[in-house]
Amino acid sequence: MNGLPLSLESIVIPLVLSLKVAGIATLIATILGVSVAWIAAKCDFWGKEILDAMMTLPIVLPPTVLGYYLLVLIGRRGPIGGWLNDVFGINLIFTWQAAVIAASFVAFPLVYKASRAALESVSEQLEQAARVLGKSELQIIVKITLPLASRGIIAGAMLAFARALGEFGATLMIAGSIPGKTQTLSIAVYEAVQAGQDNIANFLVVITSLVCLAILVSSNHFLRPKYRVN
Amino acid sequence: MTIDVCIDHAFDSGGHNFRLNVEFNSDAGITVIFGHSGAGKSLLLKAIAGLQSVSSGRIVVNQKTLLDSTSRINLASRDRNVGYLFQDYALFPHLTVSENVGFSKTPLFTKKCVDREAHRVGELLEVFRVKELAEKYPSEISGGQRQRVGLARALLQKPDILLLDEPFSALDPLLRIQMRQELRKIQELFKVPMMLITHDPQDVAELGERLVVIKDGAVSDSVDLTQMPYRDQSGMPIRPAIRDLLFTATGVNRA
Repeated sequence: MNGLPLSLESIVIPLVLSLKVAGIATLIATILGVSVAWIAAKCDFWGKEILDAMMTLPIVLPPTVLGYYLLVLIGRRGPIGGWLNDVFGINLIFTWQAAVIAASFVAFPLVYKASRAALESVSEQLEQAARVLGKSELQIIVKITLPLASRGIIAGAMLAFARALGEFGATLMIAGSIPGKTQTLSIAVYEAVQAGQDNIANFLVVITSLVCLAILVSSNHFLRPKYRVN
Repeated sequence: MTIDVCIDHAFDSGGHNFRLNVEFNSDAGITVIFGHSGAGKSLLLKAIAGLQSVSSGRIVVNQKTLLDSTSRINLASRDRNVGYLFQDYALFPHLTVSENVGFSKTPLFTKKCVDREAHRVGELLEVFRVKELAEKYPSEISGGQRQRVGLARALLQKPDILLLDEPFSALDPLLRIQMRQELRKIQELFKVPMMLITHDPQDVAELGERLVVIKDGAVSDSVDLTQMPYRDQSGMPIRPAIRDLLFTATGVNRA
């Protein structure tokens, strides 16, 4: 073992930052993912399968390609980044918010795919039954569709959180690796190995594995059904 | 209590054309719609409930116009106040028996029905003999019990008419006999007019007051069974006569 002595800060700061980034990204990805999945599952329109492919793209694209797209979009001279800079004076590149954006993009397809499958599996007849029983479309979504799809949606959100926690490539490109500011767990591991700080790397790797294990165990617990669909 | 139905709609499903063009009225307690599978019975029932849109027609239940294409009236399903018993009952699997029965009277974010209806939910659970199952989920109860829960759920909202989609087809024969008798009792108890669709002549013989036969999307016969001369001493229509009637109306040749 060589390298710098192990300090609490070098572990806790990237861990807290990673949990914050992954948590917010999962929230964003879940809200957007369920909304788009609902449209894809319940509406028929031209180009639906193209939309589906576009929404799934972040899974298959190399993270560097995704990072490059984001850099072009939200960079200071990009269409969105330029507008934010001109109107609000906000610069996103190399901030923790940029890490959230990168993580949201990679996490989105996981929620979207799982939610779409879950929403499509809800029997249309149950929604019709609720309609005849005097319920509005909003009430049907809240009382029937979402509860019956909730296990699939939660499973997707759990995977999305795990994926967001491990996000590396796109985050490095648009948020960089600023210790204490944008250096998440997975980037801190890389930096520690590069710098030869094996003791820090070891510790970070163990912590990351434990957090992921905890997510999987708790997701199994949450997803145990209390009723059968048939 | 009268039901007036007049529907004309052309369906195009995968290059297969089907036209539903029916007109009939009924003031019977139980109207039985009889026809082969694919004759258009289910579409008719869905159209009355507003679950199937039709291009033109008029549906009036008890002086309440649910649909009138000439004056552009087309009430949404939720405003029609019809009860609907689906073929497999369509109970909500994530709700308990009592939550299912109370469903039509629940606020947006709760599973429990509003307090002023809780008493009626309890009464219905008792009438339909499912009170001891109140906290069970639909997957934990039998087919006959599910059907009674489905009926109780539909009756809580005091519908103007109760539509039943092949209500006995999923039950085993002995239970079928029992449920037919129960349905008749329920009709007398709640005074709710019922319209049920079936392809079982036995349902016609034991339940029908008004018989409407549908063939290839059109009404081929409409008979007031209570006025039929062929009844035995107990007042039950004599089955062979009904069978003959059904054979003739559906165009099936007797072997």
